[in-house]
Amino acid sequence: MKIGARYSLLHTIEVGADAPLPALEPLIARWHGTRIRRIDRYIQLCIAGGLNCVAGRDLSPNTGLYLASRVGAVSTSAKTMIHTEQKGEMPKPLHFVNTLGNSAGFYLTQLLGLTGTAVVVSQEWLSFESALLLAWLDLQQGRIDCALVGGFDEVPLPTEHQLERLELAHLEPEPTHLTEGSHWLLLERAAHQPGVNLSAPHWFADAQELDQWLQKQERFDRIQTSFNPNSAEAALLARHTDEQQIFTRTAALHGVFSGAALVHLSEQLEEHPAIRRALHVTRGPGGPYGAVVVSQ
Amino acid sequence: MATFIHHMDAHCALGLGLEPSVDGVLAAKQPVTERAFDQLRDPVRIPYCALPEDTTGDDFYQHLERLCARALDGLNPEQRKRTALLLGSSSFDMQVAEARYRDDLTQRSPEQAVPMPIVGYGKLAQRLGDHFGLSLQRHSYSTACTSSANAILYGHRMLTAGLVDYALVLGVERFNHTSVLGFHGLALISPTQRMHPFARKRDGLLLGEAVAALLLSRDAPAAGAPRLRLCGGAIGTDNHSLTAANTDGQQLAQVIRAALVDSQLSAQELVGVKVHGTASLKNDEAEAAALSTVFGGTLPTAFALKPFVGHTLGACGALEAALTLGCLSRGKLPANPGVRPDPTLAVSLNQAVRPAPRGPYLFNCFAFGGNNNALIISLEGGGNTG
Repeated sequence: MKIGARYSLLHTIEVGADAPLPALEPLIARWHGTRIRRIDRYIQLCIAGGLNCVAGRDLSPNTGLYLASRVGAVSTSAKTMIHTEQKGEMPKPLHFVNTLGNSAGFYLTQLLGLTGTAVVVSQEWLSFESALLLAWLDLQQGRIDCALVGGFDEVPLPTEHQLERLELAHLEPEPTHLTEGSHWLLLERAAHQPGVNLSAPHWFADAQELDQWLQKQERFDRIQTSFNPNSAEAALLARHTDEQQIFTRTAALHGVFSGAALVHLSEQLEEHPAIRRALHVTRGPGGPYGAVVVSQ
Repeated sequence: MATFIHHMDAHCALGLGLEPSVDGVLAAKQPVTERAFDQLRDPVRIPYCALPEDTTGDDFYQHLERLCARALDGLNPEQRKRTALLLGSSSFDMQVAEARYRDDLTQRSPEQAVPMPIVGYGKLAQRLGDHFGLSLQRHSYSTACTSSANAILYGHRMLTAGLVDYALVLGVERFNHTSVLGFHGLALISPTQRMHPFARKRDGLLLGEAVAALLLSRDAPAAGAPRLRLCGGAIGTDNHSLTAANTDGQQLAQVIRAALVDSQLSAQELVGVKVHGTASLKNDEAEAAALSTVFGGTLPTAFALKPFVGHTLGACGALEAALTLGCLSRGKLPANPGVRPDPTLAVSLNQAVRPAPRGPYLFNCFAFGGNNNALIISLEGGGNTG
């Protein structure tokens, strides 16, 4: 899959801080001058990311939209649950509709004039790769000319509640920061043409499977992980490249963080033509691993 | 490349299992109960198509495991490692999250208690995949009412691409306050507690809960067994409104036509239509317009299943496929007796159970947020077909 455009938005939010979350309206306003009412931050992340990736391009009518999120519209779902379970009130109709998985996508397809395939998919820490796989399937099988792949996860407030949801509240030490983000790739079917290309994503149950696969691959100019590899992982990867890099944050990472890492790596290839072949590797806590070959 | 449906299971208001559920469809049963929301400041009672009492005592997760175990029963460990799991739902384990939050409120202050305590759309699939030793292809789809229909379609596409050898598709939608009160708040629930799709007197939908499972593979079934072939399908988007399709039906017609192209079929070859049929004013109008656009004046036999099981939201794609295919496997087309059509819509639902012709059937599924899905599944002989 050839990368036609990319965009990544990544925020690190301090746990317990009173500061407001970074504003997203200005990012949306770059491409859509009219304020969009009655949307929550989760939808804003989707729209901001999608619009800035497309950046005014005319999209093929046969463009598919592949959205990934690990946890969905948590903030609005939480507000709805407070209404019904704590306050004994009916949920606000718009709140309820905005809790649904594809509401964010609706706003984006409306803004971009897309009428074809649109899906929302999730696979825990490999959610971005899951969306990438569906895009690859449809591109490869000739169902679409172009795929807009986007992953987004929000930090709902209060942050202390989110730490509990993510089962991080009783860690020693407890995370001091959380990340949220919106990460996008515009992909075309035209592989093996000038530009940065992505392979289909691969999944591996454990480091041994990853190693077995790596042994069958050409050596990589660079391998990037979206996590801090342990010593065994670092040694394994070192056998297949001279250059390892880590793209991560000292924070409780959002579910589609691997999308940020993949976008970053693809940018590096574009900026450095000497990097011909790189590998993006991701995993969640305890595995499995996901990998995408990035080449030019 | 063809894919085939080998196993169907359905737990819904009609019964806990495919056979009793299909019995109920063919008998046109409409098991509607009520759910009381006495905890609200303004208590309400909302009609609901609930699962029958499950005497096993299984919790939400164990219930899912039970269905998966039945679906995977014929697969050995190596085959299971080549089995994808595709789960579609609009609410996942929301009922468990709500219960946990209510419990939290009894133990902590409202400020400390954590609403929406369980997050992660993909957790259910991950848990089930680990439990049954399945492939790492475990994808959860959340596109409201098309969730499990989209899961079926991508199971088909993964199989045709050779990524896996089997695809276990689950549709999951269990009772929860958020969904039921949300629909009630949108004034979409039928006040007469009956669903009359495409009828002049249609006045809204009933909600229901269900869990459904289908197992797909590239292998044709054994000789003599019904051949249920997934020919293809399509997904499209209607940007008209978050909660209703454009009543001109053009985007719905587009997705149906795309499904026909994907299946290499013409509309004239279809022998039946499982409508989406939510019995809401505008959505039925939109679907009727789409069917008119695609079929002209020659709509094949059409039937609706939501009057019998309610609208099971994210599970409806998988559930209604399982129930329809269960009927077809018995050689019968379900019927909606007594549903008198709105003459302005020109969609007359089948009035009496009749023999099911062999051939391709259209399965419509449309969702909030404008997500639309159309599948084509063909009954190709074997079994007790007419």
